[in-house]
Formats: sequence, C-alpha cells, structure tokens
Amino acid sequence: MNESGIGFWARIAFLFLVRSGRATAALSVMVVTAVAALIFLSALSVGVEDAMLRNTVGLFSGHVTVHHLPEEILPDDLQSKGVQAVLKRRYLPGVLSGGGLSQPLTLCGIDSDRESAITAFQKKIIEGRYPLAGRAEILVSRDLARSFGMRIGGRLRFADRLGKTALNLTVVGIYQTGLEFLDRGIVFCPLDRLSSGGIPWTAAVFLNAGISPDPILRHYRQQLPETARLESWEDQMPDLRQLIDLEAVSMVVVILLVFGVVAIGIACSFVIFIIRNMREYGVLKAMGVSTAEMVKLIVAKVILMNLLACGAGLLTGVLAVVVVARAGGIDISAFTSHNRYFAVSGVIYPRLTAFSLWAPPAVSLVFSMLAAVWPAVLVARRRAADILRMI
Amino acid sequence: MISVSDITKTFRSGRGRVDALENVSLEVPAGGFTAVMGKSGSGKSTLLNCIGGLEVPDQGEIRCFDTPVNRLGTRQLSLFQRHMLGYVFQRGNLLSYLTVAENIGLPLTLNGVAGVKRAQRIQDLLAGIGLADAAKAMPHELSGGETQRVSVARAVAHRPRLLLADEPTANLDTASGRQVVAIMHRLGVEDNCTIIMATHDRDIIHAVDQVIYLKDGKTVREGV
Repeated sequence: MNESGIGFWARIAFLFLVRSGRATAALSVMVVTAVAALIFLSALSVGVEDAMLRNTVGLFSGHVTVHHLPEEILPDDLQSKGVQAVLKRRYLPGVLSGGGLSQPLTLCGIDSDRESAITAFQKKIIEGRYPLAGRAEILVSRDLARSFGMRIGGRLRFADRLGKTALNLTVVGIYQTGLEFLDRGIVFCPLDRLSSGGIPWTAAVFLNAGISPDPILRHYRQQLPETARLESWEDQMPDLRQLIDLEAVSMVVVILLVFGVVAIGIACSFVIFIIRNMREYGVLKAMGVSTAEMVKLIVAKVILMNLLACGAGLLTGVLAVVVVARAGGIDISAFTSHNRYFAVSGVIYPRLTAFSLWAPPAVSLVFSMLAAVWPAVLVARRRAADILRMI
Repeated sequence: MISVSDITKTFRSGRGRVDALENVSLEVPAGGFTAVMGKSGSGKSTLLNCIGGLEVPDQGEIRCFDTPVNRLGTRQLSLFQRHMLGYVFQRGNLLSYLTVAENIGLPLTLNGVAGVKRAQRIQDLLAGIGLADAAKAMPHELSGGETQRVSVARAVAHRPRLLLADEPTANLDTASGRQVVAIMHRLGVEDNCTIIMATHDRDIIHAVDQVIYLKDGKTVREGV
C-alpha cells in the first residue's frame, strides 16, 4: 500500500491542533502548569540541598580540605576550574590555659581578611572581631569563653604538646556557630603566629555552586605530593551527606506523587481529546486510511501537542525559578533558626539542573503516549461503521 | 458489477437482537445509478456499510468488481476503500479542522496524487459543485447543501469505481437535495462510476436507473 508518510500526518495533526484552538488551549494549560510546577519543584529541591551545603561547608570548612601541605606549595597552585577560593590555615594541637583552667584543643591560624571575604564565619562572631595579622590575638567560642570565664580583653596561653610553641594571646572575639566541632575543640589566631616551627599548612578549598568535589580531588591527587591528605566535605560530614540524600529522596517521593496526579490528569485529558474526535477517525477509516496511518496521526497529535505545551511549560518553569532566585530566594529562616544545617542563612535559591529541565517534559510525553494507546487500539480494532456509531 | 449474495447482519444491543439484514441478495450493474429505498430502520445504511466494507455481514458474500469485500484482510480492505470507494455520509462528515479544499484533497493525497494534478482536480471539482470561491472556507462556514456538495466532491475526487451515498439529502430542503443528487449523478457519469444511494426520498426516483426496496431488512422489490 502507498502509505502516506509521517510528514503528511504531522501536518494534518498540526492543522487539527491549531484549528481546534480552544480544546488545544484548554489541554495545553494543564500540561503547561504541570510541567512548570514540576520544574520549579525540582529546582527547589536542588536549592534546599545547595542551602544546606552552603550553610555548613560555606561557614568554615570548605568543600575540600588538603592537609599536610609543604611550604613550597602555594594556595594559587591549588586553583583550578571550579575552585572559587583557597584559604591557607595552620592547625596546631595543644593546651589552652587561663583563669586557672586548661583544656586540650586545636589552635587554628587564619588569614582574617581572606576568611571574612570567603566564608560566612564572620556572621557567627557575636562579640568583638577577627584576630588581626601581626597581633597576638585569639578568637574563641562562647562555650570556651564561659568555661574559662573570659571576656573580650582576657588573656589566654596556648602551648603545643611538644613545648615548641607557646603563645600568650588576648581574646578579641567570641563566636557561636551551633556546630560541635567549631564550638568545642578549636580556637583561632592570626596565621603569622603559627608560621614558624615547620607546621605544615592546610588548604580549605571552596568550590563554585553545583561543582562536585570528585574531579577536584582527582586533580589534586595527581598534582600534590603523597604526603598531602585529601578530604571532601562528605568525608568530614557524613551526617550532612545522609541528610542531603534523605532530603533528595523525600523530594523525589513528593515529585513522584505530584507526577502521578499530573500524569493521570494529562492521560485522561488526552483520552477525552482523542475520543471527542472519534467520528473523524471513523470517516478517515472509511476513506481507506490504514491502521498504521491512524496510529501515525494520533502519535503526531500527542507529540506535537506535548512539544507546544511542554515548550511553554519549560519556559514558564524556568522563568519562575529565575524570578524567585533573583528576587532574593525563599526565606524559611523562621523554620530553621535552630537548625545547624542552616546556621548562616535560611534562604533557599531554586537552581535548575539538567534533570529538572528534561524530566517533567519527558514524563508528560510518556504519559500522553500511554494515554493515546487505548484510543489508538480502539480505532485500530473497530470497523469504520462501529466508530461512526459510537458518537 | 456489484453482487450481494444472501447476506445477513444482526446487531445486539440493550434493546435485544435486531435483524438489520436478512438474506438479502441483489445485483447492481457497473456504471449505473441505483437507489436503495425504504423506511427508517429498514436496513439501507447497513446494506451500504456492508457493500463498502465499513461493516462485516454475519453471513453471505459481497463482490465489488470481483473483489470479495467481506473476505478482505484489514490491509486489503483499506486499499480497496482508498482506491475503489467513495462515501457520502448523511451528515457530510467533513473533517472540521480542514478547509473545503483540504477536505477534497485528502483522498487525492491518500492515493498519491500531488502537486499541480492535485490542485487542478480540486479546482475542477470546486467549480463543478459551484463552490469555486469556497476553497479556503472551513466546514462550519458552509450551509447544509454546500456541505453535502463538498462531501460529494471529496467522495469522487480520486475517481472511485463505486460511490456509496447514505441518505445524502435527508437533512436538506428539496431544492438542495435535488442539486446534490444532480451533482452526484453528473460527477459519477463523468468517471463511469457506479452509484448506490440510500434514500427515502421518492422524488429522486426519476434520476436513477434502478430502485431496490427494503423492508425490515429484506428485499421486497426491485425496479425502475
């Protein structure tokens, strides 16, 4: 049989959709809304993960930590694609004494200017300021200050375990993060206080949004000496990794539920859309249009309809994400003020990913195609007279 | 020749068993214009549907130009309907989303007629049915008579050997009905097409070569 090609039936389908304007528009609105909502939900899920990561990793630790770096390696040597900044720090375990008490902890030397520019730690200083370069100053947590009975201006003495380093330091700042490892076991002084004595330095590497630490870790393993020890934020904070995974699973469940409802809606609408015009399929069949051609016509209608509606839905969803992100995100601080994973800010910025862009239109298309199967089988199996009698 | 031999068709519905056709036999000569007459529910439409392959009889045989229509497979039946058959429905049944010209052109495209030949044939048919200026009109913009004239043009566009018309004048006034029958006759004669028309309009008997009367699904009389 000289069957007409998909191009011909696509043209017929296009004319049908354009000239059945109201019905097409009504169904399109549903698909557009569904696709846009699903894109926004997916972007919001990514935004929540970003916020949790930004709040914890961005507060102090960085996405990647490189320990035991020799002096000949400079922070600039660790710059590569995807790296936002590299902060130089030195860690020295020892004992902090003052007011008749002493406590084992780690003294961390930092470059205050760089720290305040890159990390969000400054927002956690509740009294005083960062210790300044060239001065014998110390920044302590509120818990430690209370333990030692210290206030701003108080004097503390730090000595390392080997007795090589002994420092008398003045308290210039008090902070509170809500994170155990920062509030209990560490204090900060200027980097230059720990520059002597052959203490190896540690790099805190901050990555751009959405960059995975894995390629950076691979790059460093190839470039750095074997003595350097590498850790990603996932190694340092497995609880955060699990929480982000849990959040992702929860969001997938929510999205699947929404997908389910939307998909059933789309499927039913498509069935009505096709059944409504069943008589015309009967006429075509009486004119000798074959089953294969009829299926081509139905498939062409479904695909074209989806292309038009999903395109509009995609645009609407992307626009919604961009507008919300640029308008300052969604502030959920009221629900996160006591949550350590939102220690710095409770603002969520929805972010688009490749998955959030292709998955909703793909789901819409798949369910529409599935919905078209029943009417297509109906048209294929029935005689023209049966179809003409149906409506 | 169209030959219908001893066909029976029964429908089952909520109202029980309905014998639409009972052992109907008839012959229609090639190139002639035959009217199938009878009251509503006499089986006229079922007979036409069976002849055109839109319906399958429960028993009996139908041969159209030596093709056993009721024994054709799906693919062969589509081929037969596409090349050999034209069908005029009671309500016109133009595709609502295609223009008048696109409706007429559809069977041409299905039969591989394209380009200038297709355009010329559409133009000729439009002129032939007196709607040369309505090529771009949509079906909902036409009157009942115009719709049926376009329906006839679409049915004969690909020059079928058999034209079936199921009460094409039922919803028209007398003048429009006569016009449609005249057009159908003229276009059919041009291409030596065999026409079978179901109708209960006695006024058109003068235009046909043969009349077959049906009553309660049975042939009661044949004549002119």
